[in-house]
Amino acid sequence: MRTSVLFILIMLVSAISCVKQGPSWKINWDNEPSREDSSGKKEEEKPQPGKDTTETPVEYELAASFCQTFDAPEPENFGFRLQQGRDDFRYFSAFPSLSERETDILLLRLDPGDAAGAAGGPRVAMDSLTFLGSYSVRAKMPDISRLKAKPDVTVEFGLSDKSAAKDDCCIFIRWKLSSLGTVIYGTRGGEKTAASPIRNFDSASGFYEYGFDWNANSLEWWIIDPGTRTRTVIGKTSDRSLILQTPAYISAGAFHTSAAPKYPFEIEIDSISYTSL
Amino acid sequence: MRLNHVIAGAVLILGSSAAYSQTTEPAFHGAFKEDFSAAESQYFDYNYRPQGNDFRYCSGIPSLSETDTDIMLYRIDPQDPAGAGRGPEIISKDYTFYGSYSARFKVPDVRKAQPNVGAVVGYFTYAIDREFGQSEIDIEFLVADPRIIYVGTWTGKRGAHNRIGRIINLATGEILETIWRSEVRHQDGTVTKVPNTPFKGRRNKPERIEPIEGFDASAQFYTYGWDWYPNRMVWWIEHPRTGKKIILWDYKGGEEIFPDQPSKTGVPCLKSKYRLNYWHTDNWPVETNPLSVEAPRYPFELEIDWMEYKPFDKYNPYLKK
Repeated sequence: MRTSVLFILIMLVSAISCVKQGPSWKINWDNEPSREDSSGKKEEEKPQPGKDTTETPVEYELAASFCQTFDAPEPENFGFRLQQGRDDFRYFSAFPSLSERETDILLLRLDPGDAAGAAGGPRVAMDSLTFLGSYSVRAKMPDISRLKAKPDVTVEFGLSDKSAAKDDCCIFIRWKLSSLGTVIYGTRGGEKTAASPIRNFDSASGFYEYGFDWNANSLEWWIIDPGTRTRTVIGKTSDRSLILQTPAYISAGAFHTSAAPKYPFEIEIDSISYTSL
Repeated sequence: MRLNHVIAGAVLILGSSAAYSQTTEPAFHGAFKEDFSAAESQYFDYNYRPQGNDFRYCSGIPSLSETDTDIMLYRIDPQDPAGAGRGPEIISKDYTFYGSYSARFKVPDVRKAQPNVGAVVGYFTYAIDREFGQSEIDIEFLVADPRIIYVGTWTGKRGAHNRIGRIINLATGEILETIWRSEVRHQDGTVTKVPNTPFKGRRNKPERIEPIEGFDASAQFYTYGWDWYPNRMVWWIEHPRTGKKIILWDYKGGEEIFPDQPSKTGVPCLKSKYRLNYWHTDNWPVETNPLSVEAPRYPFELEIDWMEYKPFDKYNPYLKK
């Protein structure tokens, strides 16, 4: 059930360029925020005469907390980025899990014909903004341990700020299929790798719950051990310059960066949840 | 009181005996079409792994390649050993016999990921009778070259392996072979073998097959089938554009090629069970690629839209008049 609330935020500091966006937001995949106008100048840098944006209340329509399971063909909170001009067989919601009984999942399939880069692969994203809070995904990576030549594929769960493309995450957790025993986490300011974050970790061996807690002054990434249900913090920062201070879009996707994968590897996503502060 | 007990006992014994006799009678399917719109099938059992947790089957899910089509998906498990029956397989709950069989499916496209993989998609009937032996009718693909279709039968009492078969490249219309062969192991340990022997004349019909332009069993769904009559087999495919049946092989019995066998002509004469399976072979490469016996490295996916059976009632001996 979709419940969104009207939330009023007063943006205080002009140092954050995103603040200079227009007063309200309604975005979908067909209406990405343009980064440049016809003169090549960034929209957000346009002067707005007679208006002191640093002190103007800005309204955002924010999504309420939710836990999105994928037991229906159309997920309530997420849309699919579809291929243009051809049938798209990269998204299957309400698909039986390939590894866990009685679990319906969102199956994300890589298309070997996809273009390289984050913009090329399958991605699900929200149309509504979320803000400070706790974010998590329960997911399983495909098992490619028997392959000699590992595909150069990245899977990502994260947040993109509202002025950027939805596949340009500024807070994220990432997985490389070539290194199933590690988790990468970070912000647009940089990323770190957590090798063997918990005992016997293998992101392809089963479902794990990964997440991060986003506060105005801190960010903390974590993973829950499916056996013990204990939460292990894998990284944190309190550097405000690295921490997004505006609402964002949740998304999850997968893409290749160099050679295209030869096989349509499948990522299983059981749930994505958001709990606002 | 005691008499009552005796009568009750007798009734019980007779009842049990009747029940036993019912369960030992072979059961046969009537006409059916399984469209795999649910997780379990009314007509087929799944050959699940005994240890459970078998994720090689998914029924009632959307096709991975065609919009608005629900399918049964088979995945081959790279860890499964080689051999028929070692991969996913569904088997009709009851027997089938003379009739028309058809199925719509799409074989996996392996050529970019692993062109030398050795894997068989078998759409077939198969059963072994203790006394009279094998009853098998096949349409098969080796996924390394999805232009090539194999049709044929296997018959013979225990110790006998009698084959009639035809191999066709449907993209070119070329008939690669139409043969029979026999291998019979006798009780005294001796073996009688007849190597591949080409059929000629009336058992080699049609002699030419119009190619299906761009035929590739892994590129889209096609409908395949056969009609099984006493002493005649007709294999066919539906043309994907016109829907017309293209006869792949119209085999009529005549001269006995398998003497001393229940089926002397190669047309099975015993009830069977209706099946579709998918398995790794390490010793049967496709005609066009002798290297295609590698173990699969990926869980290549086979999609089955539906399977249908229409018995030819007038030929089926099990029917009570």
